[in-house]
Amino acid sequence: MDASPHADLVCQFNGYYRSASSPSVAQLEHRVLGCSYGGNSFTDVADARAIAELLNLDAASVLLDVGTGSGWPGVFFGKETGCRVVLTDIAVDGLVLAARRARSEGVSAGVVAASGELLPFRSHMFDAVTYSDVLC
Amino acid sequence: MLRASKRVLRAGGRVAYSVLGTGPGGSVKPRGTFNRFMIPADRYRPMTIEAGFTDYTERDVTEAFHGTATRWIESATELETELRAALGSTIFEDKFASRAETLDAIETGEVRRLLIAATA
Repeated sequence: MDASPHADLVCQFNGYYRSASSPSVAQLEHRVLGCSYGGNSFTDVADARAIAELLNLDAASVLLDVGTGSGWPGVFFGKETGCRVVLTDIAVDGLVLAARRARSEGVSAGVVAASGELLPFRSHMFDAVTYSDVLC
Repeated sequence: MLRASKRVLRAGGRVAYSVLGTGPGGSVKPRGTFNRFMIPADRYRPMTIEAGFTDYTERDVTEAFHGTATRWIESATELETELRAALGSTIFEDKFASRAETLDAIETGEVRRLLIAATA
């Protein structure tokens, strides 16, 4: 995916992520999704648990979360299952939050700025891949 | 993105993703930026299989999504003063309009949300 067609959305997301750590945004997200990662997703905790089950995640898994934004739900999967996660997005401000959240949660995570169509990884290196409401 | 995902997955690895797609009729009436990237929900099965995946399953979670979208509008309305202060009025109003458009499209049956899984 060429990032340029989505440049306005990247700017919009980055603007949101820069403000998303405020208590009122966290309160909104917690009421709506049952968690607060400062994200833009429609995925709530029930969805995330259903996805983790569909992915067969466990502590031996290596997961790629594409379009992770500020770390939801990839960091949550790492915390819940013990899997290692690699978090990618084209909105860098979100990735800064994602890396910080992973550290604070004690989740083993790598963070890579990349689009979903040009994943800069070796072939066959992940056990699972997920994305939540990412622009397709 | 599905082909790229297939390439980086080991054989037997799993992909699971949530998507919004247009409902029966295959279109969404214009609402700002809401539907710029949306495709018909029934396209995801062939796209996933064409990318090389097997064991395709999908679950329609539109009803739960309606609950999520409704809670967002209700909660954002209650917290409007604090959210405007935190986000600024432009971001708040853009986000509120986008979420209201989403809720409207769910209620008119134009949009579905799916949880999809498959094996590499």
